[in-house]
Amino acid sequence: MDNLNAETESALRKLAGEIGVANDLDPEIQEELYGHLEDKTLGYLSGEESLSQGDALLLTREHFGDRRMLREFLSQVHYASATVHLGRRLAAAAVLLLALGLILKPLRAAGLVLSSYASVAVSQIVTPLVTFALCCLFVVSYFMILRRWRVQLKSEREPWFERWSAQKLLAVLVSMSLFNMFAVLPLSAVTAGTASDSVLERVMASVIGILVLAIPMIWAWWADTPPRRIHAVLTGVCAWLALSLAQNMLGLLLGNPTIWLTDSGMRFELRPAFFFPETELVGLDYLAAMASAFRTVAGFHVAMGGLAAALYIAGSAIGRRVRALAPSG
Amino acid sequence: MKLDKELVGAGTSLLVLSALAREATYGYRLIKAVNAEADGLFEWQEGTLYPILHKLERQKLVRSQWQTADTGRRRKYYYITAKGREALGQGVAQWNQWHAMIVKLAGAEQG
Repeated sequence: MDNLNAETESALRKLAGEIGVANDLDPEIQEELYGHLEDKTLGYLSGEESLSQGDALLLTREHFGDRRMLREFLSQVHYASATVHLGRRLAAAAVLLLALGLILKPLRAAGLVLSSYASVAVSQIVTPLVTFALCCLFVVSYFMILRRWRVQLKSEREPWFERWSAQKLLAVLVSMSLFNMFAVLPLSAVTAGTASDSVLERVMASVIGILVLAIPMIWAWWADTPPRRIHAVLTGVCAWLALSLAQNMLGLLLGNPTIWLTDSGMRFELRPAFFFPETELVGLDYLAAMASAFRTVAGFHVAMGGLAAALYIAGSAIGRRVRALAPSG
Repeated sequence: MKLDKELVGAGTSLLVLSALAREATYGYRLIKAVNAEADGLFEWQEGTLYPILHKLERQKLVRSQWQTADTGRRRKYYYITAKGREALGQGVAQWNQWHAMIVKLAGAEQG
C-alpha cells in the first residue's frame, strides 16, 4: 500500500499535532513526527513491520474498546436484569408476609379476646404463650413457604411471581397491604383486672423480639442470589425495611379501624394510632411529637434491618468457611 | 534477556550517533536499523528518539536536512557531523573503559 486514506492521514496528523513545543518550531516538528507515524502505519499495512506480542496486545486492547465504559454498560444491563428478578422475588416475599399476617391476625385477636375473659393469673400465662406460639407459627410458615418457592426456582419451574406481569404483582401487593392495614379486628375492652407484667410475659417479649428479627433475616436469605451476594442481601433487607416502615407510618398517620368488645356489646372505632389526648397537642407541637414518633419507629426498624443484615452476612461467611474446611465428597 | 531501562537510557545518544555514523537516515529508518541489530534486547518508545535527535542537533553533533526518501515522501534526514564523530569516538572509549572496569570488578568479586 502506497498511500493512506484521508481519514487515517487526518488522524495521524492530529496525533502528531498533539505534541506542541513552541509556535515557531511546531510545524517542522509535527511534520517530522507525522512522517514517522505515516511510515509506521504503512509498515504495518504492508507487513514490513512485524507485530510483537506487545503490539498485538495493544491492538487487541484498542479494538476491544474502553474497558471502563464496557464494564459500565455490562453492569447497567445486568443490574437492570437482576433488579427486575430480585424485585419480583421481593414482591412475592412481601405478599406472603402480608398474607400470613392477615391469616394470623384474627387468630391472635381471638386469643387476646378469650384470655381477657379469663382470670388475671390464667391470662398472664395464656396470653404470652399464645403470642409466642403464633409468632413461631408465623416465622416457620414464612420460611417454609419461601424455601419451597426457592426450590421451585432452582428446579427451573416458574413460580407464580415469575409468571405474573409486573403490574399484576404490584396491584396484589398494594391491595394486600391496604387490606392488611385496614382489616377490622375485634379487641376486647373487657379486662379481668389489672396486674403488672409477669416474668413469663417479660421473657416471652424478649423471645418474640428475637423471632421478629428472623423476618428481615429471612428476607436477606430469600434475596441472596450469588454472585451478587452483598448487593442482594442489602436490597432484600432494605425492601423489608421499606415495607415495614410504610405499614407502621401509615398506621400512625391514618389510624386503625377497631371493633371493641365491651360489656354492653360491640363498638366500632377508627382509632387514631397517633393520638395524645392527655396533652391535646396542636399545631407545631403535634407535628414535632409526630416526627419524634416517626424517628423512634424508623430507628427501631433500621436497627433491626442492620442487625439482621450483619447477622446474615456474618453467618453465611462462617458457613462458607466451614463448608470449605469440610472434606469434599 | 532485556536490558535495564536505565542502562539503555544512558547509552541512547551514543547508540544514535553510532547508527548515523554508519548511514545518514531519518527517524523511522534509524529505529528500524537499531531494532534489527538489537534483536529484542531492549524496547524503544519510538517517539523518544526525536528529543534525542533534536538535542544532538542543538549540540551540533548531527545536522538535519529535509529531502525526498526512496518512498517518495519528504523526510528529515540526519547526518553525523565531524564534531559528532569526535564525540562518538570519545563516548565509545569512555563506554569501553566503564565496561572494562565493571568486568574487572565483577571478575574480582566472583574470583
